[in-house]
Amino acid sequence: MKIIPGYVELVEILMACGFADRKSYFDALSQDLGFDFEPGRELAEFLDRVRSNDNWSIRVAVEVFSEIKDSVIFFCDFPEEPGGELLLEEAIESLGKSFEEKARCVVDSILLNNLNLSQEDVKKTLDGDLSIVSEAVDKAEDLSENTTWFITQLIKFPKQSKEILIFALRELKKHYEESGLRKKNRDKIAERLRLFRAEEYEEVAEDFLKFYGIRPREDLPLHLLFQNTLKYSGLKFASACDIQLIVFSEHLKQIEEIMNPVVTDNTLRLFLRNLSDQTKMQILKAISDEPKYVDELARIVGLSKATISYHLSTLGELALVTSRKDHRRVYFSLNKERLEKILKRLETLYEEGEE
Amino acid sequence: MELITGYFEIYDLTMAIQFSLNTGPVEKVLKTLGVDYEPSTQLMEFRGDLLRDTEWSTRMYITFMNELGVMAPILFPIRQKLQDGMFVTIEESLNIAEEGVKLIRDRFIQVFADRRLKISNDELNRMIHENPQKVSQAIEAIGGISADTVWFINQLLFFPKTAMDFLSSNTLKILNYYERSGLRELNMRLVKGYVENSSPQRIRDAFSNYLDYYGITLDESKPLYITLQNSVPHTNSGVMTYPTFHLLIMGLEEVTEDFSGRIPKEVRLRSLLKVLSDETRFKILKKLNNEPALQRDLVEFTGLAKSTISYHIGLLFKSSLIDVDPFNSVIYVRKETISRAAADIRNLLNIREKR
Repeated sequence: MKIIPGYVELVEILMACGFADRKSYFDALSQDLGFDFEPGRELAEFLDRVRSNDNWSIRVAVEVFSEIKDSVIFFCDFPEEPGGELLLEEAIESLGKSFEEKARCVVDSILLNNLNLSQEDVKKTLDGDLSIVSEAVDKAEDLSENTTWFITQLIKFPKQSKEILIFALRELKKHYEESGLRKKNRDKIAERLRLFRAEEYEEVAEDFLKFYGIRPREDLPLHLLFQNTLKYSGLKFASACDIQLIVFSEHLKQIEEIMNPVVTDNTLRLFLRNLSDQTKMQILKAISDEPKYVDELARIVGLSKATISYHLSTLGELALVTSRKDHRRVYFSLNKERLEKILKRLETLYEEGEE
Repeated sequence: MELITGYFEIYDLTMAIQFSLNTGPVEKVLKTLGVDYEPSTQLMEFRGDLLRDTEWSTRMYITFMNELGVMAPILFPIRQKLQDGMFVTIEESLNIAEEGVKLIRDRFIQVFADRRLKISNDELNRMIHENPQKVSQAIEAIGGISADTVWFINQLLFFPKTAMDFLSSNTLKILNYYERSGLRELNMRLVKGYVENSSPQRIRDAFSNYLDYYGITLDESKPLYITLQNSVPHTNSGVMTYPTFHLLIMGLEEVTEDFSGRIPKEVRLRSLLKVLSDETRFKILKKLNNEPALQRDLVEFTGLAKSTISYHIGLLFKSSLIDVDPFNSVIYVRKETISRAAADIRNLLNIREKR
């Protein structure tokens, strides 16, 4: 598998929209994971501008970008060579030229990853049978109305979707520029690309995949995309149309400590702190005998699906839970191997000498 | 195990003095543990009077009563006065005949020799006669106590009658504040009301829940005294073990609320994990594991304020993660608590230990 680290500026806009739409989610998760994330002046400015823009298509786009960014990301092109860089202008132009082709990938990813359809159902849908989608969209309670609307548009009226999307991207680009966020991110990325060494990223990426038990296809390249907008990207791995990618962010440095095969004091404390949370403890307990999906957990714990999903994200980042897709559902189970390792460390806490 | 329960009013006063000198940390500990606590207006008034009194003898008295709070049973000997179900007023515990003074001094010498100097009673008695200088040096070397307390211990050994005069006249002065604030009446009324209207079995049950919560096993060959206090009703002294008995001063609302039922394992575990996962407390525990230390050593080690350390120590103690030697205030880690926590997590999450 060839690993291609690179920069796609459009990804930054997806991240910034995610933050605009779900700030409290990012805040809560950053805190769970022990990152002290304060949005910079520029991101805050971007947020303000987006929020005060009452254009309807912008509002829809922001919500869609935020909720299904792991699929929307396939509207992008990706660099072919390590260290490559694709600017916003190029991305918008290219999207204008090959929208239909990209939209098919996005739809493919939505059906597989957001609606959890089987390959078979995806094929039927793409062949024109939309009944499955309507049904799945209705079931997907964690998607907003705007998003489900957008998904249907994308399948039924790709041409109109294109206009909305390109208009929204041009507007968002203005906000991105005027807030100063673009310059800030570009300066950082310039520095990173100057010090760039492909092997370094390959190594980190391999540890990362191994730690989270992600198995990408060996015959396809894997794109590592930098982003500077958020510390936590919330996007571990995505694949569609023979493209597979990971979004890197600054938090990878902190995740490196969590991924360390030796459980450090900080990692142990992070585990204890998250386990002391009532909801997380209940979730872990509920999946300790057999895997469960989000609806089930929401019922057992008595909280909304969105809340359960957020807690599962934290537990997933800490590699305490793993997930598996089966029949339109994602099942979560306890990562006992990892827990065993952390518990061993807790049990031997007093056996070691001075650090 | 022989169990004697009752009300030894002087200990209620001791708790009020301790609260007055450590108000911030005590309140913060209870808040962190999720106990809804509001000090009574009477207690706050008592505290105001006490802290306004700047006379040297008052300062000395409250300083050593605070520092040697756990020595109260030596200065105000409970074994001579309290029988099961009895109420002993402050006046009664002060009413000490000459042989009483001798007894208190002997008891003190016994504990001092045994716990601090690790020599026999007779040896210390001989030392007091033959080499008083050496005894004074040994007192100086008791860790974590102030000059005021050193002074009082010296008085007690070499001028027992003066020391006891000092003790009772100052107790009577403070008793004045205790009475004037209405705290005495309040405490007496509530404790009496409780004892008269419920069976002593309820105190025993609360105690058994308390032992279960803290995971404590007591040496059953010694009798155990449980005395109630209402000055700070949600807190207790921790079990203190002396050469011939155990003593626990328990808050009234601990009996009626906090420990009135068995505390679910999960609740206890969560609160323990929360206490354990704080960076400072984690550091303190590791330090104490290397070497038991005094509170002031920890102030030096962490560079934090005395009141902050006092808060952390309070929490660690209330979570059973540390023990404090009642005689010399040396703090030790309680290793069993961590092993038990790990076992509880294993149990909860169905993780069998791998050998």
